Amino acid sequence: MVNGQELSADSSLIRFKTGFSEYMSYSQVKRSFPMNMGYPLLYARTASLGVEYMRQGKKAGHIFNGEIFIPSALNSDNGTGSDFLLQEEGSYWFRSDAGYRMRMSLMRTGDLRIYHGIATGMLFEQRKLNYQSSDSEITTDLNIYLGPSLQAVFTVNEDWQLSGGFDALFYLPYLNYGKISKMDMSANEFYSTSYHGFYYQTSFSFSVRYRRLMLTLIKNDMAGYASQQYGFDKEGMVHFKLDRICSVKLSLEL
Amino acid sequence: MKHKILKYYFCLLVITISSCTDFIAEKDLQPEWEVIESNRIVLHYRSPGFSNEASPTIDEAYFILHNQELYYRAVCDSINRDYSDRVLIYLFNSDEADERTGTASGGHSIPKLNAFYFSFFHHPREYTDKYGVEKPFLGAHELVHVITHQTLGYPGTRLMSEGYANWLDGSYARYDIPDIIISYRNNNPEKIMNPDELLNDTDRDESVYYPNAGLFTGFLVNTYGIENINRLFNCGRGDLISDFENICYDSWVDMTEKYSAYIEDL
Repeated sequence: MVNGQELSADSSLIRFKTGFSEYMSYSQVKRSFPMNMGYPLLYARTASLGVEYMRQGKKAGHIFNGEIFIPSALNSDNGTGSDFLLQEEGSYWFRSDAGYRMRMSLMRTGDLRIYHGIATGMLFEQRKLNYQSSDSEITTDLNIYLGPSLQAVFTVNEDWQLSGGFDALFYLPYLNYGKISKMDMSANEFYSTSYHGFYYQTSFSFSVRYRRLMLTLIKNDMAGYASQQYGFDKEGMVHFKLDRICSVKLSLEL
Repeated sequence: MKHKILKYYFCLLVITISSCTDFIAEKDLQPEWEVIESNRIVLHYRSPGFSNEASPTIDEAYFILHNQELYYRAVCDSINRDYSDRVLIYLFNSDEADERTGTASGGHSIPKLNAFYFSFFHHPREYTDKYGVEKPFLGAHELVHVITHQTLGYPGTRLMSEGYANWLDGSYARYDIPDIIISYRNNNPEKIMNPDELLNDTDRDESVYYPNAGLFTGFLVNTYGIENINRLFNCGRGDLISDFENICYDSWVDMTEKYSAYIEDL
């Protein structure tokens, strides 16, 4: 996620990040729009590491970023704090992301600057549900995303800067690949198929930067479904996402 | 100047798109449940006085719990699969069900999470289901979706998904499925669907599609055996006919004729 940095042309910077995130995957209690996200839900808490390289060109800034979440145990909540679904051991969630962002100045007024641009990248996500019977389901997604991006940066003074931004990212079935496998309690695979996801993701962020340190809060929502065939037909749907990831990240600029 | 206007339009577009998540989904966490459990079922229901419409009494809740246990065993036996995970049932009162789940009567399942949602209300019509349960509040339909998806894998067609659910439930709108089909045959023959229509014409009204799919699936199981039909559960629409012919050693055309004769003899 890009956050406030004014660079002169042909200059660059590198930023290392560490963070803590909470992943929540909700059930589709109501499936017609607008959908209701509810119980039972799956959740995980994990740390992440990331790096960002930013280079400012004459007209546009180019930001390359990579992030990896530490694989974490997955639990469920039925609505009253009980986990009737999963065994904590063997259930996990993992995610990593490599992205590129191009940003250009949209407008400037006083100390407020607004940027616009595009974001694209590749997301890898894997989740294993190890049910209490020891039956299990693994889903693995490799998705390409693309979408517009907007950022506002307010410079308080030489040391302090506030910024906020959001991305609207589209994952089209023709650019995505996933695989789902179901195993019985003896770990014999009895069902497996590929799928192609149609997802929509929004990402809101707010950052406070003090000199080389930056604290960022991010809310990342993702909704959609995946079917066995390419396209948007829901027949043969094998997977869905109604996910929210809330993160807090600390960055250090070199 | 034109460039600047385009930039502002872009800005507006992003704001609109990014706020669209509210039109797609919103959180509606409902933590206020009474919970009772059995070996295979966890039933969540509303406490008395939760809303203007009736919540289940404790006796009614245990009645539902025991019936679902019965259906659970019957479904596993019918499809010849072992399954032991608990199924989570969320019963919404009838005045909140439409807003919460999207349907005022009936429900839907989320098999991946071993869960389904249903509307609770007292049916005015007397009915005894195929398992001998008198006046059930909810049948086996949604439970079948959970168990079949989790033991056979995800269905490749609406025919298989709803076919299994209606076959194993045995009823639609509290009428026995064979009786519905007999009524259609005698009075509304345009509502009788042949196998090709069941495979391809999946947008037919639920009152037509569900009973036809249920009867057809039961016919297939009785004629070709449950294990063969289980193997068709995951087939996509484009593959189902060829897979049927390879697995069941019968042509789709011949099977269609047999099914037509079966309906005539009902």
